[in-house]
Amino acid sequence: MTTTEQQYFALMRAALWQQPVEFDGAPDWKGIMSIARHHTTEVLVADVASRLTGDNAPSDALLREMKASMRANLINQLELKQILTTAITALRDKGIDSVLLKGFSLALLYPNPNLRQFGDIDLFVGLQQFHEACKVLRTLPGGYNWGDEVDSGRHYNIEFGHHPMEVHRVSADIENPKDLAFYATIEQDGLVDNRQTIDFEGFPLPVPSKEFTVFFTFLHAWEHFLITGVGWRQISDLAMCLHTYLHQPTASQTAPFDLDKLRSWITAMHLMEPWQAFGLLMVNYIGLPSSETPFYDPSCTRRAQKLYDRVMAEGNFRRPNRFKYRKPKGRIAKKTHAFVGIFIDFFQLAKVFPKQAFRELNSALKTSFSKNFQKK
Amino acid sequence: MKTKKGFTLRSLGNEHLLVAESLEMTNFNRMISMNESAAMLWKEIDGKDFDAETLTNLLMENYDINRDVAEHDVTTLLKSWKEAGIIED
Repeated sequence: MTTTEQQYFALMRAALWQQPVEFDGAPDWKGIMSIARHHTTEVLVADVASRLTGDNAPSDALLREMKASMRANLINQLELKQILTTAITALRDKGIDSVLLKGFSLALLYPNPNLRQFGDIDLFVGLQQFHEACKVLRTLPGGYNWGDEVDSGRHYNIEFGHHPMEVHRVSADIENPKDLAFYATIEQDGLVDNRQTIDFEGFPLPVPSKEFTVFFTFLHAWEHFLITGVGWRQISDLAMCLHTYLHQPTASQTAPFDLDKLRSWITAMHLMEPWQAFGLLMVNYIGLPSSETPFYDPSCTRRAQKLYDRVMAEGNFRRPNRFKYRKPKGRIAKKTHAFVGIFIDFFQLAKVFPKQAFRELNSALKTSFSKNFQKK
Repeated sequence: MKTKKGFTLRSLGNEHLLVAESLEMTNFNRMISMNESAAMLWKEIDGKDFDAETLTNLLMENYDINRDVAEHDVTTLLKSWKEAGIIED
């Protein structure tokens, strides 16, 4: 780990756990903020950095930038909050239940929710209420929809001003049919049967169950890792979920966290090894206590190191294009290109998680063959 | 006097910002930056009836200053809060 990386993590730990910053050497602000942006954590880092004094404080110019990004994030959140509460209220008035995924439901788990960055709203309504919900949301003031919900797979997009809202019929993209069938039972448990309502500055906000929140946050990080690149934002989200639910139960969370349920979900989805590697990252780099990290296994250090290297290299949504050439034209060339992509993904994943790589390869090939077969 | 409804005090870094919560009111002009002592006073009196004396006493309780300085600071602060439209009689 470089000194700059160490300094970045010192700031992240200070932000997540409200602790003083302990720096080793003079801070490399340019490098630190570059990492922070790469992982969509610049507002968290800016909050701590802007409170530093003396030799460790950032320059005035950088401080101005930090203040501007913190304010812009706050404005963004206030706008999203208004859209979210309007949408949930409109759905409620029509008898439609919705559950907020990610966004504010995770931000509210941070010591200062205004520091978690996000740019859209993910609202789960389920299969049965999906079309009715889209109809209601389309009529809201300021909404502009693009695309037809009938043709979308996972969700329907609506834009309110420059803020996108994703209306979900399902909460995750899972290709393997067996996994998908099991995931449907997880959704039923966490998003329907055991969803909870939390207070969001006076507004009753429907959010998933504690166990689903933890599992889904991990699954989301895993999906990022598989497809676009995972950043410390997603990993911090998971750490904040675990800390909130396993360390400091509040009056509204009196029911104990069901670790057996979480274990059964992770195991059934064949994700225990990635879970444990992410666990090590949370403990070793951003300071989640191992006592709050279920199924913690300190022996998976080599895998965790490989995961760490990938996380640092890729960041949130920043995975480099796997091809060094442009997508070819022509049917055969396109199909060859797609197959090569599947195998590149396989070899990349196999370096860190071989078992999961074979499962992903199997699913990707099946899906690919099935698509080609259907087209014929 | 009373604080107006619809404002929330939020802290970002070393800044304390009083923010209008409604979308129509929300832009950079409706974010009022407060220093540490003004933020402390706002937290104490938000949603309650108060007068200059209340603020003066709070300042003296929380900071090592005499009454003259506290009264002077409160007069200046109330003027700026009234101009900003965040309190009402």
